[in-house]
Amino acid sequence: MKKRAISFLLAAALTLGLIGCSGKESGSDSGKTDSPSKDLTISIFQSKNSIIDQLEDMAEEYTELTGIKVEVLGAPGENYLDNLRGKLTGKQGPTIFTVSEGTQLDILHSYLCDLSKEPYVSEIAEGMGLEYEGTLLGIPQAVEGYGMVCNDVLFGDTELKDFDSFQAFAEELSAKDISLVELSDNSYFMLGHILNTPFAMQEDYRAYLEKLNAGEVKMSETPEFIEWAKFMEVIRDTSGNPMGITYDDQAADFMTGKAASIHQGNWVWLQFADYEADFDISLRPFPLMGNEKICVGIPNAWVVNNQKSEEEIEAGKDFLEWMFTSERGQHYITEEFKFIPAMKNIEVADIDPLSMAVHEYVMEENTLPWTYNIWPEGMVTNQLAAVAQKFFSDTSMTGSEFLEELDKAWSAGVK
Amino acid sequence: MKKRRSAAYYSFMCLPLIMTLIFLTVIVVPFFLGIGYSFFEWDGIPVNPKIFVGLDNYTELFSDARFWQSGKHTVIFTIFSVISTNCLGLAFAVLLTRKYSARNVARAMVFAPHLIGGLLLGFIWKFVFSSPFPKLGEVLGIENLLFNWLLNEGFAMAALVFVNTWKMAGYIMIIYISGIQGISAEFIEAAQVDGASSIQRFWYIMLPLLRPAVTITTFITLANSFKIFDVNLSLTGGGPFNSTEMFAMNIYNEMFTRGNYGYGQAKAIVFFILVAVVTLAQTYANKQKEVEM
Repeated sequence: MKKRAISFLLAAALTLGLIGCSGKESGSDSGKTDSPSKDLTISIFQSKNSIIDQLEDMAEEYTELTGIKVEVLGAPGENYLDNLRGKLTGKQGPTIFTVSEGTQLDILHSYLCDLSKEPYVSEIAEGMGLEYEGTLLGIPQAVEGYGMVCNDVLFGDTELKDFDSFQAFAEELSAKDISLVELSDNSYFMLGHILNTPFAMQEDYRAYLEKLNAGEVKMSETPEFIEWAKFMEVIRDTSGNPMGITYDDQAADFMTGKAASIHQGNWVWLQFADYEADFDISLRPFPLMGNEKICVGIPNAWVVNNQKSEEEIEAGKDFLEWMFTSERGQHYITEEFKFIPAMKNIEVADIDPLSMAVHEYVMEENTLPWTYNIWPEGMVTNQLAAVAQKFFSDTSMTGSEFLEELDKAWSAGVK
Repeated sequence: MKKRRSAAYYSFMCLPLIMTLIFLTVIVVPFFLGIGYSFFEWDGIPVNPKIFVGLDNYTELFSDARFWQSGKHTVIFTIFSVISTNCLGLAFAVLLTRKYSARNVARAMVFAPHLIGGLLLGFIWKFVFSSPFPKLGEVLGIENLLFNWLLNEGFAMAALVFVNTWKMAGYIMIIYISGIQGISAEFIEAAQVDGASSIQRFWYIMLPLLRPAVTITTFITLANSFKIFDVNLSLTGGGPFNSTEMFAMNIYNEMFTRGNYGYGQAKAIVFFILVAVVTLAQTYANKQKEVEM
């Protein structure tokens, strides 16, 4: 008898398990409930590894305040879009996530809620909102900028203005076993960011990109790129192979004086917290053909997933409103995330020197755009990074060969 | 006498039914859907349009140098990986079926890496190769051998084979151990009486009797190496300069990094056919050589 009871229970449990699974799924699809449930959970997924811990603290504080659970999903780094796509198509998309302009927006716009009726959107700085066909879909996360993050003691009064001064200084430092510009192994830190400069310096970079995609122009025949490749040769020959250098190593080498500068942005300040620097840090432009501008853009915008239940969408919007309008929310944006806000209602005060420098470049309008947001999907990680790895490992490869290989990889990467 | 069948008997009949249902929904249906998708140009986002392109994806595939390059990498990796995993697994099995006190502990230690899983092992070894390796090389003065292997094409492949062997050898060892334990002691003793040396006993008695185990282990290692993805992703990420990009990773990149869902599906179908042909051929060939007692 006993045996029979157990077996019934087992069978019942298995069957129930199956029914339970399928039931849950259909529930979340059509999950519209009238009364707000207490255990409502919203989830956040975003691409910046550097703010995960702080974001979790913020989520906890919000839960204490409102009772709504906020789940921060793990750190995806380079594979953000792959991960997000998987989550969205698997119907497990997060409530709030971030999207960047260009390719990402083109793919994902149909998943995004219209945010133009939110009360704080009038505070978004001019032209910084994420819009698709005239509808506001995203609130800018932050302004970011990058260039050469420099150790002012090692630089002394050296000013890099052109290729000759760059090369001379690189060789001078190299004799002392110090690298001038250290890169690291992430495909954007190795290539994407630094390659943006010659693109952004084109008169009309959108037109240039269109021609490049159509095969009508070549990087290897464009003066800015030819000059850029000469810089890259110098970097390779004096600053070593970035492939063995992680983002952490890069910050460490900079803070311990092994690298006079790193090609990074204001976000790297969070990495510096573990070190004590006895030198001033400045952000300088990459001196390609006398360039005096740093690259500045809005990396991401916060968006709300329109596939969720109405209740969850509202909760997501409320969370964003709290973040951008409450004192604590703003505290997190500027003090904890170290973001330079793109909102007029948030004071730029007490930010770190690098972010301050970016802010000043923005004010002086000495900025270049981020062009890679409109490069074909996966171009940097899947196509160009391998060429850069080859270039840095094979010291016999010349700058012009590097450009030819980049051209080939580019045309193969255009769909 | 009529045997009364208990409720347990009937309720357990449900189990295969449930398993079949799971198999259908997570394997069979997606597989056929996948075949369908391979005829479309699509970026994988349900709301975006699917454009029917017929066999274009398949014809494009034959001139895709990078795909076939990744195939070459897979074959090289598989050959070395199957040999090294099986040799090491068999060696461990022979050593750890002898009688000595720490035998069980040793078995557990050899098996442990398999429990950690490929993804984590890859990250652990990535650290080992990139930090302690060069430092050790410097201290010992053998920088030519101990440097960051992951930065060199050939050595990165060797590192992949090494880590995969590290992961799989313990698992293969378990299969060989059960094979060895299944061999009747009579045969070994008879050979011993006839004056066969230990090498002869291994080579002429043990190995032929282990043939069924060999069929299984080569099947497992072959299929496993051919489909390798986790170690590939975490250890080298396909680098340096795509020189260690395997089939599975190429397909992943095509679908999820470049967003060519339909084309990636076509690659996946071709990949499936290749894996099926290779593993079936191997199983057939090995079956012929098994000894029936």
